[in-house]
Amino acid sequence: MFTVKRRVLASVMTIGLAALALTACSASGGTSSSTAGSVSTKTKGDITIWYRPGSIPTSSVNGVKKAFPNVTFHLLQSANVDAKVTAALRAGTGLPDITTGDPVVYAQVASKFVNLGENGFTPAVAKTYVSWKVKLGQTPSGEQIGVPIDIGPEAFYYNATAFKAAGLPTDPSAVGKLVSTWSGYEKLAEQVKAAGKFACDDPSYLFKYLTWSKSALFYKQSGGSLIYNPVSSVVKDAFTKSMDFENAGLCADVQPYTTDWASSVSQGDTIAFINPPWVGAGLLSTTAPKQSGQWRVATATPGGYGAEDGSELVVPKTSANPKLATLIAIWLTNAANMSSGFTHNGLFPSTIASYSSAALTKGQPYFGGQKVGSLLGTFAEKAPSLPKGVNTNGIDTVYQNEIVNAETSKLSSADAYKAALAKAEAQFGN
Amino acid sequence: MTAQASSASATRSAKRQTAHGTTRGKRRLWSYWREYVSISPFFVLFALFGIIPLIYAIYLSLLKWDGLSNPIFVGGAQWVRLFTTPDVWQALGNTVLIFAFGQIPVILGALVGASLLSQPRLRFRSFYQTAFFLPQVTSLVAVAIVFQSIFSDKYGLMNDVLKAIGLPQQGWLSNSWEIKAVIALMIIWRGFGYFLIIFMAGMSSIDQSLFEAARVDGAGPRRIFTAITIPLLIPTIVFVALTGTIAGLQIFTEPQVLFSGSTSAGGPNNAGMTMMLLQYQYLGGVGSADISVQPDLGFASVIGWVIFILLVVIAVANNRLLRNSWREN
Amino acid sequence: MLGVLIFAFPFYWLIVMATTATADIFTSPPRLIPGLEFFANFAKVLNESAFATAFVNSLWLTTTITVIQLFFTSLAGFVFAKKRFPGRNKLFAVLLATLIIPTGVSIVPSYQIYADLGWINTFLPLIVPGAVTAFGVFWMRQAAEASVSTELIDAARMDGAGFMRTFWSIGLPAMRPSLVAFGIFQVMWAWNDYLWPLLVLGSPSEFTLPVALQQLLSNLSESTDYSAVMAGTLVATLPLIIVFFILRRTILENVSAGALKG
Repeated sequence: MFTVKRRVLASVMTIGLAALALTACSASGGTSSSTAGSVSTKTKGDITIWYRPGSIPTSSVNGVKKAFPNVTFHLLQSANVDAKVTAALRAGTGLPDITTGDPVVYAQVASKFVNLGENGFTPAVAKTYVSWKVKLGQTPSGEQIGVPIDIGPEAFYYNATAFKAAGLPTDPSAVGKLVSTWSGYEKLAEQVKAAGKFACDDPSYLFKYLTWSKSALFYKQSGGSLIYNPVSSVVKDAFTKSMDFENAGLCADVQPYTTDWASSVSQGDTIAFINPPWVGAGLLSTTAPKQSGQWRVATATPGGYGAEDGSELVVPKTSANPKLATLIAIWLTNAANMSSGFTHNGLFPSTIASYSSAALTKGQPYFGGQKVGSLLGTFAEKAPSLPKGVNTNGIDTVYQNEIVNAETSKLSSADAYKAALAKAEAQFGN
Repeated sequence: MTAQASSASATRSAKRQTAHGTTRGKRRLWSYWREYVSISPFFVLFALFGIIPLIYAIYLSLLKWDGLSNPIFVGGAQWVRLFTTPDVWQALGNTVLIFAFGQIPVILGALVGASLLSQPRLRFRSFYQTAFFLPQVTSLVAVAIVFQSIFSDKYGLMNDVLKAIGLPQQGWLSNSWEIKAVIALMIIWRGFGYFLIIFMAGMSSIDQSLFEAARVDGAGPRRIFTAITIPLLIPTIVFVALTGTIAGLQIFTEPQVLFSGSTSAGGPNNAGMTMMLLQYQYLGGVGSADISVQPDLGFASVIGWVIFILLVVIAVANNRLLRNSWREN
Repeated sequence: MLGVLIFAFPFYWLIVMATTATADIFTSPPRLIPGLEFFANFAKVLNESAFATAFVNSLWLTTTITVIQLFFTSLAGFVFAKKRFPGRNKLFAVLLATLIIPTGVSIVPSYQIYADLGWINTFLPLIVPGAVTAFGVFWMRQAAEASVSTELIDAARMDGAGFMRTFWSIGLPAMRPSLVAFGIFQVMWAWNDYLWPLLVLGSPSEFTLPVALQQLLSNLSESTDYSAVMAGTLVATLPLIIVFFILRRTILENVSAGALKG
C-alpha cells in the first residue's frame, strides 16, 4: 500500500518540479539552444540512453520524459550494453548520449568521454552522493567521467531465530558489538559451528570483504595515476584470515548464486554471512522466503566498514549536447529516484539524502521490521575509498578462486597465497 | 572468390543462353549457370561471414588488445605466450579428456541405441524416442540449474543418494576427475538424442528386405548389426564422426553452465576449463561476471587458431575416409 | 529400461522444480514429487520478463531461419548430388573443408562486421550469415544421393520439365524424410541459440526465449527465482516437443515404410 502511495507522491513532485522549471525558464526568457551556456529541464534536445536491465530505478525511466518535456528520448534497455558501447567506441559512431558503464574501465579511454565536471556535475552536485563513489567515477588524474548510481555496502546478515537457538544474542546492536572486530566474529563463528551451523557462506567472500573494506584493491594512488601494487600486507592478511576461517571449518563453502548456497541457506545451515545488499536482501529473500521476519542486520562489521562499487552513468564525447546529457544523468540518479529504486528495484542508493528518506527509514518485514535501509546507509558513508584499477576485478577473482582451490586441494594457507600471487602476477603483472 | 566470380558470370551468361540455346556435347562453363547459382548462396555467405572474419582473426593474433584502448602490434609474441601459459595446455588436456569420456561414448552409444530402437517389434518406441529427445530441447539455463543441484558437493541429490545407500560422498564439482566425469555425463545426456536421430534417419534408408533376408538365414541381432547395419551406415558414421569430433573439441556450453554463479569459470583448479571456455575468458567473457584473466583479443585469437590447427590435423587424418564415403555413393 | 529412466530424470526434476515454490525446492530431504505451484511460478515469469514477446520472437525467427535454411540447403544438396558440372567435386571439397573452421575464432571479427553493417539490435545477424550451412548442404546431398531417383529426373526432362521444376516436383518429395530430420535439428538450434542473440539483440522487445529466461537468473537482477526459470523453460520447451511429436513418424518410423519399399 505504502509503496503505491509513494509512487503517486513522487510523480506529483515530478510534475511540480517540471512546472517550477517551466516558470523559471519563461522568466529567463525563451528556450535555450544546445549551444547555450546553461541548460535546464526546459531545454530542447534529442537524447539516447542505453542501460542494463534493472540497473537504473524504474521511476527514473518512467519519469524522465515528464521531467524533460522538450527532449526527445530514445531509451534502450539491453543486457549487453558494455559490449555494444565497446563496439561503438571502436567504430567511433553510434554511441548514445548516456549509458551505464564502469568508469574504471573507460578511464583508459577517458578522452572519449565527457568531463562531467565541466558540464554541470558541480561540487555541489557531487556532495549529494557518498564521496568515495563519486571518486570511483573519476579518472586517476581527477576528471569526473561517471555519475554514481547504486552501491553495495557490506553488512553482517544473520538469522536471529537460529542465533537464539544457538544461545547467541539476537539484538542487532548486541550482535554488532560481537562482530565489530575480526576476533569477535571468529569467536562467534566458532560458537555457531559448535551449534552445527555456519556464520560464513564462503571464505572467498570474506576475502573480498576484508580487502575492499581496507581499500586494498591491488592498486595504489600515486600522484596522478594508479599503480599496480599486488604485494601488500593487507591482501596477505585478508588471505590468511579467510583461509584460517576455512581451515577451522567455520564456513559452509557455498558461493552465492549457486544451488548449494540456496540449499544451505534455506535448510538453515548457513545462518549468517557478510555480503552486499544484492545478496543479503535480494538473493536471500527470494531463496528463503519462509525465513521472513527471522533475519537481521548487525549494526557493525568486523574491523571497519566496506562497500562494493555498483554501477555508474557515463556520457560519451560524441553527444551533441553534453551539458543536457549531464543534467539528465544527474536527474536520473537524484535522491528521489534512488530512494524509489531501493523500494522497487533493489538498488541501494548512493545519494546521501536517500538514507533519511521514507523508503529507507521504513522497517523491512523480511528483517522483522528492522530499518535496514538507513542502517546500510550509515555503513555506506563510513566505507573507505576504493582505488579501483582496470584489473581489480580480475585479480580479485584470481585470489578468490585460489581460496576455493585450496578448499579442494588442501593446500596450506601460505602455499595457496603463493600460488595466488604467482597467478595474478603471470596474468596481470605487465 | 570462386563463388562470386561464378555467380557474376552466371548473370552474364543468362543473356547469351537465350540467344544460343544449349549446345549438346562439350558445353561451355556458362551453360551451367543454374547449377552455380543454386550452390552459390553458401559460397557467397561463407566468403562474407566466414573468410573475412578469419583474415581479421589472423591480424588480431598479432596484436595485444583489450578491445577498448589502442591495440599494440606485438608480432609473434602472442604465439610465444602460448608456450609459457600453462592454462592453455591444461585446457587442451581437459578438452581431449572430456572428448574421450563424453563425445566418443555418446556417438558409439547412439549407434547401438539406434539399432535397438529400430527393431520392428519394439514396444513403447515413441516413449523412448521422446525421452532421449527431451534433453536436446531443454534450455541451457535450466540444464545448468538441474545439473548443479544434482551434482553440487554439499547439497547435491547425487551425494544424498550415495549417502542413503552407504557409499562415500564425492566432490562432484570440486575434484579434478569428478568434474570431468560430470561434464562428460552432461555431454552424453544432451547429445544422445541428437546422434540417435541422425543414425535412425540413416538406418531408415537401408532396405528392410536385407534385414528380413538375414533373419530368414538365421542371423542373430548382433550379426545383423555388424554385417548389415554397420557397413551400409558407413557414410552416416563418417559424417557423424567428423561433425561430432568438430563439435566435441569445441566443448564450451557444458562447463560454462555447470559453474555459472561461482567465481571460477572452469571450476576449482580449472579442472573443467576447456579450450573454447578459455578463449571466451580472454574475449572478456560476455555475459559472465567473473573473469580471472586480462581480456586480450589477440591471445583469444591465438587460442582459436590452436583449436583450428587441431581440427585440421584430425580432418586430414580422416580425409581419405571421408572422401571415399561420398565419392562411392 | 533403466537407461531411459536415468535419461528422463533430469527432465523430471525440472518438472518438479517448475511445479514447486522456490522456498520448497531446496529442502532436505529433497522434494521428489511435482507440486501444484506451476501456475504461480509461470505467472512470475510473465510478470518479470517479456516472456510472451520473447515467445513470439522465437517462434517467427525459428520458422524463418528454418524455411530459408531448408530451401537453400536442399537445392544445393540436390544439385551437388544429381547434376554434373565442372568443378563440382572441388567445390564440394571446399564446402566440406569449411566444416572444420571453429566458430570461436571469429566471434570478435563477426561482431565487428555486424556492427559495421549496422546490424546490431536487428535480427539479421541471426538469419543471414547462417542461412546456408555446410552441415545442411552435406546432409541434403547425402539425402538426395540416396533417395532421389535418376531415372525419374531423366523422365521429367523428357517431359520438358525445367531445372527448378525438376527440383520441386522430383527432388523435394523424395528428400522429405531428410528434410524433416534436418528441419528438426534446425528448429532446435535456432530455438535454443543463446550466444549470438545475447550479443546482438538489444531490447527486451527483441529478446528470444533463451535470452529472456537468462534475464530471470541474472546475478545482476535483484532476485534469482529458480522455480520461475524452470516454469519458463518448461513452457519454452513445449513447442519443440509438439513439433517433434508431429514429425517423429516421418523420420523414425522407418520400419513399415521400409517394408513397403522392400
